[in-house]
Amino acid sequence: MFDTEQLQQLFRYACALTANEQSAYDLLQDAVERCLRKPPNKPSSLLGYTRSIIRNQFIDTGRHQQRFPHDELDTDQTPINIDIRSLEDILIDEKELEDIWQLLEPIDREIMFLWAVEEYSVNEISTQLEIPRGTILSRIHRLRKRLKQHKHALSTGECL
Amino acid sequence: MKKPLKESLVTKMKEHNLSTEQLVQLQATIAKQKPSEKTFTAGRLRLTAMLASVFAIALLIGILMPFDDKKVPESMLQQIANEVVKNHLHLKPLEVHTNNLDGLIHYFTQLDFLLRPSREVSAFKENLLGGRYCSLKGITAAQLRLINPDSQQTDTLYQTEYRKNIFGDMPDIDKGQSPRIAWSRGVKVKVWVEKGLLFAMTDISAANKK
Repeated sequence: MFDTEQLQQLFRYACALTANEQSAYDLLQDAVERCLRKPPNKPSSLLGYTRSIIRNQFIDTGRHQQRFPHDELDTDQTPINIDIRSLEDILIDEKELEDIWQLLEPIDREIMFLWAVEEYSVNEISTQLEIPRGTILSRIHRLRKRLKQHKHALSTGECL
Repeated sequence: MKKPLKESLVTKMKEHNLSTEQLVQLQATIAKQKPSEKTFTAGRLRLTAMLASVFAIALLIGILMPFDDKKVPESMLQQIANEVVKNHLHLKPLEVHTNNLDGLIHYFTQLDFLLRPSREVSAFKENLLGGRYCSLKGITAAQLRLINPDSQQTDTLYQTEYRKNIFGDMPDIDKGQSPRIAWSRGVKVKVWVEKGLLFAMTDISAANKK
């Protein structure tokens, strides 16, 4: 049903959500079992289907209330004349990324994962996460701002 | 060293790999727990009959078509060749420029293996141009660039830890076996194992001769 590479892909996705390898493994194992009990209708949708199970399971564990504040995001008035490509001109070193990664909310890590690793467009991210496109763009806008602030803070020795 | 965010993220995420033990556990779960069986209703029987007809037609078409037109699953060798050639053709910028192996080893500090020259690559040290972090089948790898002394063109050499559970059986030249060859997008790729490392290298000069 799953080959090794698919399991690795799903594990990385779970790592992006949890920022913790052990929790990611637990989520993946649970998702694989659920998927075996109730397989997707189309075998071709196996990866997307399992990703949704992982995501729902992560949310169901009770950590979503602070971390997936969709209601708040949906009313966001940030102008949406921004693009996911605005993240592409950010230069970062490994240490900075590691520091920032732990501070990001799971949904931001998830968006960044889908954008960078899965190479999804904004529309595809919006479909996968079932979040309005405008919300994703607002999130990217804030994410970019936050990354820049954090980099600045690191360079000046400030604490955020 | 600062790199574009996207590139840094890909590198970072590809560092997360299930351990062999975890993979074995997951595969055991999959093998043990077959998908639940569903009861057949009249509707399902109709659907099955329809699918059987479609299958019969497809089979007939398949028999009438020449054999080499049929799609067969891609082998691991071909998947490796495809990934190597795709990245070779993109020629992404090198992160380190050096013709010195020690310089490369000094740069690639995040690898789980030590970079080694190969007997299969003639004048490895003399023709080295530099390298960058990359991955092969999701495993962190070093992507090195070399000048082919015969054609004076650039070849790409991947080196990574040889994980049999991921790459399958590949020929080990330390045991007297010969590298395997695959072609992708008109480029020849040699794949072999040496000193516990998996090597995959393009051969542009062979592509020109073909």
